[in-house]
Amino acid sequence: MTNYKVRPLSGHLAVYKMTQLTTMLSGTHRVTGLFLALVVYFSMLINKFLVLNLSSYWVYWVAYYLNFYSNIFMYIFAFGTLFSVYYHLLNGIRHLGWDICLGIELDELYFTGKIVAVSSVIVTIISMYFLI
Amino acid sequence: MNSFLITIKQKEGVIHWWLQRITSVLLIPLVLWFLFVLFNSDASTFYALFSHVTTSINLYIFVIFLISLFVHIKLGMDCIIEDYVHHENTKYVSKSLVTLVTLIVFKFFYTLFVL
Repeated sequence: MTNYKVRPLSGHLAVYKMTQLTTMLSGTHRVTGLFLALVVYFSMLINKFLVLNLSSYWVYWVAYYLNFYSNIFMYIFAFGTLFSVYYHLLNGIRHLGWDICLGIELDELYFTGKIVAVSSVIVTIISMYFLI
Repeated sequence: MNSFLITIKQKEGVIHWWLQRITSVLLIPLVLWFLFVLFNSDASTFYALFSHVTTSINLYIFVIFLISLFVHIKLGMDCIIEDYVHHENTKYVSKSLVTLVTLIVFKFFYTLFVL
């Protein structure tokens, strides 16, 4: 049993207003990064499921409904992951610009943020048109 | 050896910062290349994705893409764990698990596509 003194933490999530554009953009940057990492990890897991024939009634139930709704599920999943890729890419370029001290004033932040948010949606719609 | 390890431990944050920027800059064209190859391939299954690519330059680009992608994923997950886990032992175990899983998935993709 370690003698661990619990010190109070500074506020990290609740101190930011959710109505600001900057918190939403930074939050979706983190969420899309996490989602893409999970997609990469789960693609290996799904491949192992198919190769090793791991089955149980739960797996069969999930696969049955996945096959039944596979068209719309794959559509939504492709849209979600493509939007994650493009949004994370464009916001990552914005982050790298901040490291070279480009665009760190507040009006520049809002301007580039709106460009990133709008253009990522447009590019995903264009990519989905080429996929489907 | 001990002073080398002490130097590495002192510069751990700086290495993390620089690796994150280097992998980000490398991944900007590599992700676009990967999406380009993905959209232009006629492969309908997971395995047939790179079977039509026989030139060695594409394989080298894919290896660099895999390495930078997994280092970027590991550094990003480290940031998230650092932000939301405040118990030191849990943080250490979580970071080790993320490193381990990243290595396993990298080995899987490397043996599947490159070799």
